[in-house]
Amino acid sequence: MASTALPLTGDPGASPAMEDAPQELSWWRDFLGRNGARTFLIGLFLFTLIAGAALAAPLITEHDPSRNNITARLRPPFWNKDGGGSTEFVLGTDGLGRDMLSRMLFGMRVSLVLAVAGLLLSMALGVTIGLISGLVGGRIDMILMRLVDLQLAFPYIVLAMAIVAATKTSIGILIILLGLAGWVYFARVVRGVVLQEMQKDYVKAAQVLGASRWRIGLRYVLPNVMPAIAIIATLQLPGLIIFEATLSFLGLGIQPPTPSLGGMMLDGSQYIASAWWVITLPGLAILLVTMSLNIMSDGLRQLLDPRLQTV
Amino acid sequence: MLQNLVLIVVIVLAVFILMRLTAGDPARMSTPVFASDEILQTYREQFGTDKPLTAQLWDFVSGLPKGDFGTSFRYQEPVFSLIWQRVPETLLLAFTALVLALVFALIVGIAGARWPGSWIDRFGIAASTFGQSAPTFWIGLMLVLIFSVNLGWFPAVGFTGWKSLVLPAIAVALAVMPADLRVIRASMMDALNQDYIRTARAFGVSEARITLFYALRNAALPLVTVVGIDLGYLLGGTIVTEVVFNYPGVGQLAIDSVNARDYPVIQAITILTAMVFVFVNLVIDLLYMALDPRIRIEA
Repeated sequence: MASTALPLTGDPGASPAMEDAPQELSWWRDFLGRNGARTFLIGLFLFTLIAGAALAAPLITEHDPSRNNITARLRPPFWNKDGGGSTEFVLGTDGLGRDMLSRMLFGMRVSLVLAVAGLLLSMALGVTIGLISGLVGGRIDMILMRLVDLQLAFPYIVLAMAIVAATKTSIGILIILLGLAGWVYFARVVRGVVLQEMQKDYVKAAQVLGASRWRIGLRYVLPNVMPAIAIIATLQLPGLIIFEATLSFLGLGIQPPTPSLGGMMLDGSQYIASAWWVITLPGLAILLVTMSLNIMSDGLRQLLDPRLQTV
Repeated sequence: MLQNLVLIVVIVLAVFILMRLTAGDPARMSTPVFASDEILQTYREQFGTDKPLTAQLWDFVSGLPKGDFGTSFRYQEPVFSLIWQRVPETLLLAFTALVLALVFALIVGIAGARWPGSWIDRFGIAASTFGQSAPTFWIGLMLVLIFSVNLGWFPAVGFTGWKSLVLPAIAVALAVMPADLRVIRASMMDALNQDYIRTARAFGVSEARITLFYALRNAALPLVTVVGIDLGYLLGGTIVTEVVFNYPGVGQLAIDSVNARDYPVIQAITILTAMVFVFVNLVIDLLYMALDPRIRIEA
């Protein structure tokens, strides 16, 4: 699709130094030569950098992300020396004098863990439903796919708000909400691939040999669904990160003592006229992580889906 | 049609049961902590939450056909009029955003399909990557920061005229635009590669006419589909954006009601959203038939 026009994909084989690489590295060279490989690696590198920083948060910053410091409220980032910025608080402080950098790192940690948990849940749900839909067919397939259509078009945030209003906000509820947000894409694509694969000769051969429908589905068809699952997973993760941030920004997600990127921006919105960094930086962090994932999924799509290579 | 009715019934039941079974006591929420049992009881009688659940459900369902969605716990006003007052503002915002997104997506999408890799194509891809990667509420906050706080061109909050509409509409439009742009660009590219376009060229039809008349006509169907899908994003994005801009619409009311545990209002908003959704999808199905004769013959 549009991805080929991204300037990020380098010209394969453009580097002359690769010519005399040792034999063991030839698979690596082949990989680099494939369409989308470099895009994928750039995205992966960026994402690993951010996720690594978030996971290693306690090593990077010595500030406690939830310790208030009334004497150091709303300090700007270090480059603004005139406004009182210093390298003590590299990215400044928020309205309660808490260190922005450590809050962002710990918040990113929470965001990523929640989004990945939600992703795994929606993957499990979606793949199961997609398999059932594709293998069983008939009326059950129709009902399940109607459900998928419905959720695709219905503003999920309204539903999420109703659920949060009815239950207390907790990490568990949040993960369930995130899981319910993403399953449809998995279900739809898995069903499509299953239907496609079921027409192929190897499935017919397995049927002749007496394999049951479920055995065919799980042993033979599922492995062929894996590339599609990987692509959707990288496509879904940024959406879930944004959704979690949105819920937290609305006050429906992560609750105050725990740092979260959305919650930071909710706090920061009251200082919008005086302290730009409190709302800007957490959003930039989200933008960075979602963009790296989008780049990654662009590359992955080109790598795994040969049909797109001709576009 | 039947499926859609079933859908509304399911949503009504699910929302009602979810609200009543798992939530706290609204009487406790609206009285001081030290309120005596008698006071709590009068509140419950007033809210109708003292009756058994089935009776409450019946009260609720029997009121729906009359447009009676119950009474707000917080405002002590009929829920329907509470929401209805705010519908025009929300519709105005959603509609403006949709128009903005479509105009941008059409211009940039058509130009991008016509001249792939050109600066306008690259600009479109960059803009849609941004719209897709940044949270809508953050885009809203950034717009406020730049255009209200620093430049002072537009008001930051509230609704005081067309100027208040500009920033929220841009924020919502950026959430919807990427999907539109991608669909328009792809279907235009597809249409431009068809044989009948080559034939038209051979006949000496002008390029402008080919692009804007022959190709666009055939790219219209996917566009209608994507507008249908937009609806969900549009309403979702509007809710979040209304909160950012303190814009007096239904989304703002929804969030306030969630925080105040004002169930009748949330219930009504959810159900009304489902109805709007069903209605718009019906319109889209009809539009399909109008646009594509093949579907008309099948049906």
